[in-house]
Amino acid sequence: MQAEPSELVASATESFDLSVFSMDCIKRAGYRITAKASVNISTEAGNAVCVLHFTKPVSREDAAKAVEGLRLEVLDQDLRSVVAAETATLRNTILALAFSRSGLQSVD
Amino acid sequence: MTKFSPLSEFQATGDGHYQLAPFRFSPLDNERYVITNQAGEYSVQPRSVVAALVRHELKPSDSAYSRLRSKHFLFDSSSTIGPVMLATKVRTKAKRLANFTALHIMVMSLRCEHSCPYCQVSRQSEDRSAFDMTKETAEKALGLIFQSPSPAIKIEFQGGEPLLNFDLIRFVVEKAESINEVEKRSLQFVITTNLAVVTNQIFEYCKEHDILISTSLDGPAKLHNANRPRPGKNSYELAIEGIHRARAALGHERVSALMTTTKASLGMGREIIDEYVRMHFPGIFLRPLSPYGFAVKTKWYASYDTESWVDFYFDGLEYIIELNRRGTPFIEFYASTILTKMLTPFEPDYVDLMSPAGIGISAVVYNYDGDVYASDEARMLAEMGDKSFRLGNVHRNTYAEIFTSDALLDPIEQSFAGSAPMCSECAFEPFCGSEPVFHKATQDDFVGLKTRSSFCYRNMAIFKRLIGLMEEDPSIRELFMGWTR
Ligand code: SF4
Repeated sequence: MQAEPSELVASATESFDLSVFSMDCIKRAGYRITAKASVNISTEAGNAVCVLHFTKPVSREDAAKAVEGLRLEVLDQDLRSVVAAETATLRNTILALAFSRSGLQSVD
Repeated sequence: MTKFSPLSEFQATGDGHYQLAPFRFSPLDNERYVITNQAGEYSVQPRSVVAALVRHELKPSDSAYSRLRSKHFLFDSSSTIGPVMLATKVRTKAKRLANFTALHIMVMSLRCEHSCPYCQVSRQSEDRSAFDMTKETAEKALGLIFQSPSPAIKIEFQGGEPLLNFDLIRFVVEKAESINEVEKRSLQFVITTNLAVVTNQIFEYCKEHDILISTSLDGPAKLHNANRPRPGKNSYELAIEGIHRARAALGHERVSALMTTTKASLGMGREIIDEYVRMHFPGIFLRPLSPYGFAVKTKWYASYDTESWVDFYFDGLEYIIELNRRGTPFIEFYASTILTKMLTPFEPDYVDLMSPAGIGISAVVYNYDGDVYASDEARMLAEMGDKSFRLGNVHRNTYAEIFTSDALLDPIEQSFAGSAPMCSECAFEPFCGSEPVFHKATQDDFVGLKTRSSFCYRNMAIFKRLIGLMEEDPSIRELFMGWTR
């Protein structure tokens, strides 16, 4: 069903538990939805509170979709942070192997 | 200097234990993700598999396990040389960086007898002295060109209409050939021309000096003539006749054509492709309008949005696949460039899809007045008054000053997709580029906000479509393999 113009919303809010997700992940996820909304992040009682300000008013359904998109992005960013932390040294090693054949790697 | 630990440190020993390799992932659709490794090899996996991989929950018996191992997304005790193999692939991809600046564009004249509303630079002027390159400038430019370390040097003559200054083309060709007797580079010349003022003598000269011709063909007569006005309203007729004459003089494969998509082209994708097939071209490059020069001033650039262009592109791609299925071999060249990145260890030299940015590294432009620009788009941006990418002038600056100028190094460093927000974690980054000139023109910033970038929107849509098509249909994957170079 089509939303009435009166049902359009200009913003939506979602919170993330900072003991589960890092602020860095939440910020990165916020960046990725900037096509549709700017995101204002503040902290409150151990939570990151994200207020999505839509670039133009949207239906409640689209607002819910945007919030769901943000949640999925945060989950993805969390996985990315695990990959980045676990592979940081290896990433450099592979680049060192790729670009230098002398002296960058210790021999033992 | 930083020392790295030996490889043995990263290799898991026991069964079922694995070390994650560095990789990026991005959604392909609601269920599937594309993951890419450091060398740009990709795999499509459900999100649940990506999450299980990251959490070390994948078992060697899982069907995805060995595929992910063979593509270097994980290393275990049976893939001890995995990191070395991956490093070799990374090195192969990066090889182009060593061949610094192969393409040198020389702007012979800004004058042109066409007045295309989407043209970025041309001038309707009889004043040769104001808009033609001089011998002195050309000589200085050649001096710089041969300081490039690239073993292959391609000199492309552009305009305006470069043939309006043909005497200078002859001068440059002969001078370059004589310098090359000592330099012994692989030297190639291309003239980019609308073929409206070409003569048989010019063709003879091109044959004698092995010069390639690149021309414009926007589609069938009605569209081409509407897009490319000239006195006599016969741009199409002259282009077609010129293509036939050029092929007869130089050989079929030594003549290529480029199209530009205008608003009028959008509903005519299939007719445009038919025109290229009819003219026996091996393929077409479905190009969007660029946000520079007169295309912006005349509002042609804003006449259609990126979504409409992407629809046009996808319809064209679908039609080309159909043509191939019906037995007409035909390629879409932009897809071919991307597929080469996706399916082979090699990195095609296409300035727009490079990171570090291809500006200056792959191509450089010597403008008619001696100014040196980081790319063709950079000189078009300069015509709009933004000289951010002006690297210097052939009369006043040395090779070192030009190629180590802040105007070149700052945008390359800042826009490097490996560290730019969003690009650094995007699975499509190995296929994409950083395009600082485009983002400077559209967002006044070398990096640009990628969520609002039409460059990002357009390319991400194409990457997803190409991968989606290959996933759905193995015969398309096979066809696309044949498009790689
Ligand atoms: S421009 Fe867009 S598609 Fe390209 S690497 Fe960056 S985020 Fe990915």
